[in-house]
Parts: sequence; C-alpha cells; structure tokens
Amino acid sequence: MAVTMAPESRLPVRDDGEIVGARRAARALAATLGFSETDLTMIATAVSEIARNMVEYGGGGEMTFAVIDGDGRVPGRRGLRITATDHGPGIPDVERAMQDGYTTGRGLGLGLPGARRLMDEFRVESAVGVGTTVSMTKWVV
Amino acid sequence: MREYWDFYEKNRDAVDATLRAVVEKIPAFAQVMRSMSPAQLAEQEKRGLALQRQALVEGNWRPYLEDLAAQAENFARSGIPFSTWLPLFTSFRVLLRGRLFEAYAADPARVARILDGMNHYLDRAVGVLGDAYDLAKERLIGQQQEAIRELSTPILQLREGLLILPVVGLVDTRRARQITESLLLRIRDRRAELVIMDITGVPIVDSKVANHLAQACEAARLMGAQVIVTGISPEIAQALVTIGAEMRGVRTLADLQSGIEEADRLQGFGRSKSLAHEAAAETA
Ligand SMILES: Nc1ncnc2c1ncn2[C@@H]1O[C@H](COP(=O)(O)OP(=O)(O)O)[C@@H](O)[C@H]1O
Ligand SMILES: [Mg+2]
Repeated sequence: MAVTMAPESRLPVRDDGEIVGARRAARALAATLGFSETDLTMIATAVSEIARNMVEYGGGGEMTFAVIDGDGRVPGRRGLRITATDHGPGIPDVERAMQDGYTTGRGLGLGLPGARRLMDEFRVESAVGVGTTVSMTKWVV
Repeated sequence: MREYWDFYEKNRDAVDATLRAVVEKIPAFAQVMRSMSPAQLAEQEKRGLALQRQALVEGNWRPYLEDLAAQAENFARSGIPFSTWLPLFTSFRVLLRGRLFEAYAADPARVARILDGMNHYLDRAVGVLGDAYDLAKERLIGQQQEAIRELSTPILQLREGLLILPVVGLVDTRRARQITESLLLRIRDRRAELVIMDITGVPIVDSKVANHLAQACEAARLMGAQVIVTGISPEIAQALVTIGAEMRGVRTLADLQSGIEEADRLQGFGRSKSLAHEAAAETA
C-alpha cells in the first residue's frame, strides 16, 4: 500500500477569522488537485462546519490539510485529508452528536452529520476531558 | 543544550533577579506584571520553566515555543512593541556570559559549548516571538477590515415598498444580528412589504449562516415583510441540500434579476413599468 503524503499545512482555528482562513486554505489546496467546483464548495462547507464546532465547543484547535496519493485500493487516486484536533471538553456520546438535529448549543445540529455527507470519509474520535479529533477525506473522482 | 541548561539552572536565581529589575524599568512590561497576582506570576514562571526544561533537556521544543508564541501574542495585543523585548534578551545574554566566563575561565571549550547552546536557544525564542508579533498584526488588520465591512450594510430602496439588501462576506453571529437589526429598522421606516436579500457575495453558506439568514427572514416576516433570498449559487445550493439546511420556508431564487422580476409580479407592476423591464432595457 503506497500512501505518500505531500507536506501538510497546519493552521490554528480559534476564532471566526481563522475559520475563514481554514476554509480558504482547504479550498486553495483542493483546487490544485482538480476537484470540481461543486466538490470545492462541499469541502469548504465541511471545513466551515468542523472549524466552527472547534471554536464553539472545543475551545479552538488546529486543522491540518494533507494531500494523499493513493488510498491502497485505488492506486494513484488522490485526495484531500483534513484533520481537526482540539483539546476541549470532548463529546460524551459521539453517535448521538452525529444525528441530524442534535445540538447542545443553539445550532441546527447539522454540522457533524452534514460534514459527513459532504465528504467521502469521516471519522470522529473524542474523549471526555481530553478533546476531539475529526478526520475527513474527499477523493478526486 | 544540556550543558547550557545546567549552567542556567545553577545561575537562575541571580539571573532572574536581575532580569526582574530590568523588566521593572520598562513601563510596558511593568504594567503587565502589575496586572497579574503574585500567585499567577509564580504559576506562569513555573510552567514556563518546566516547558523550557522539556525543550532544552529533552529536545521537545514545540510546547515551549507554542507557549511563548501565545504569550507574545498577548503582549502584542496589549500594544507592547517588539523592540521592548530586545533589552531583555541583551541583559540575559550579557549577564549569563559574564557568569560563564567567571565560572569556567580555565575551560574555554566548555564556555564555547555553553555559549552556543545559549545562542541557539535565544535565537529560536526571538524567532518565535517575531513570528507571533507578525501574526498578531495580521489578525488586527483582519479585524479592522471586518469592522469596516460591518459598518457598511447598505440597504437600498428600489421603489416604494421594496428593499434590497446585499450581504457580502463573513456572516458570523455578530454580523447576522447587525444585519437583522438594520433590516428590521428599515422595514419599519420604509414600510417595506418586500425585501430582496442578495447573498451573491457570501462565499460559503454553512448550517450556521443558513440558520442566521433564515432567522432574519423570519423576523422580517413577523414585521409584515416578505423576504426573497437571491444569489445562491448551484454549488452552494447543493451543499445546503446535502447538509440538510435548505432554509425551508424561505423563498429563494437564483439571481438578483429573477428576484426583481418576482418582486414586480408580487407588487403587481405591469411589464412596462417594471424594474426588471427597465433593467433589461438599460443593458440592451
Ligand atoms: N469539537 C467539539 N467539541 C465538543 N463538542 C462538540 C464538538 N463538535 C461538536 N460537538 C457537540 O456535538 C453537537 C452537534 O454538533 P453539530 O452537528 O455541529 O451541531 P451544532 O453545531 O448545530 O450544535 C454539538 O452541539 C456539541 O455538543
Ligand atoms: Mg456545528
């Protein structure tokens, strides 16, 4: 399995301004991979959702953007992997948080499930008192 | 690095005492120090020391540099110029060097190693400090631009009863509130029955933005005005449907032109007098 990663970029996400920065960075990197305009918007929207959660619930965190070459099954397939990590309170019940409409804030409860639908791969790892990591990937078809 | 750290440890009390005296002579720093309680200061010092140890002894620099960067950003935000730091570093360098020559006069090789260690450490610290200042400055500029944009939410009256509200840029909670507020005031002042909210200039509509916009529309509706949202690109529409935030109950149309045509129809304007007709005639 040949998974090689180009140098990744890493951005802090602590406020609204940095949410915009993360969105732009994701879009710019994705554009170099040849994603369609629709995919670019989907990626930027997913990044926006996850970045907002980090700021709103996770006390801020960090996002990394990495180009992936080859996913093991499909050699040469390229994708964008986004990893968001915070050291906030964590999510007690991830399965529940992933349901449409579930929110502990004043949101629509569509951020996590929405981002999952926007991306091809989506994983949430969270531990109460430790923090949350969301990793999501979109492949160039 | 290790040798430098050991030497620093041995001389820390004396060095710190002198540095504190230097800091107190720099008004900007002294003020920050005074704003913290002795317990806070001690806590910060202890943490800084532990992180520094981790960096110098274990070679794990990141936590220390990150902490330093965060502190530097705070200093930058409180308006303490970068140049204020330099006498501090100079005093540190001079002081430690003096003590070093005293202690190991007979062992120049060792003096050289420790000096190298010290310089390496200080260079990294100054570098991170400088970067953090740059970043803080960028952020400040970003915030100012944001503030300017915020002050300019133009709401135009196209004709009796019809308002047009172009929304541009970032729609965060604060801005959404401000947009809603000015919209509602305008609806009242102009007795508007119809508002076209054009979001062509909003690059990304995620669930939160959609929610804010839908709430603004709902508030307008409560004041007796109908809102038509225009300028949702096909890509954004698809993303909104995918996440499930379609803004149900909000009338949406592809572009401003369609919005104006719809307004003509709703307000009962005939083709000849319609704004859509005029606009088309102008561009023809
Ligand atoms: N990074 C995070 N840290 C802690 N809790 C989170 C995080 N992200 C999401 N959550 C929790 O998951 C819930 C659902 O998130 P989401 O689907 O984005 O909806 P919303 O943001 O509208 O609440 C949030 O209300 C919050 O309780
Ligand atoms: Mg959310």
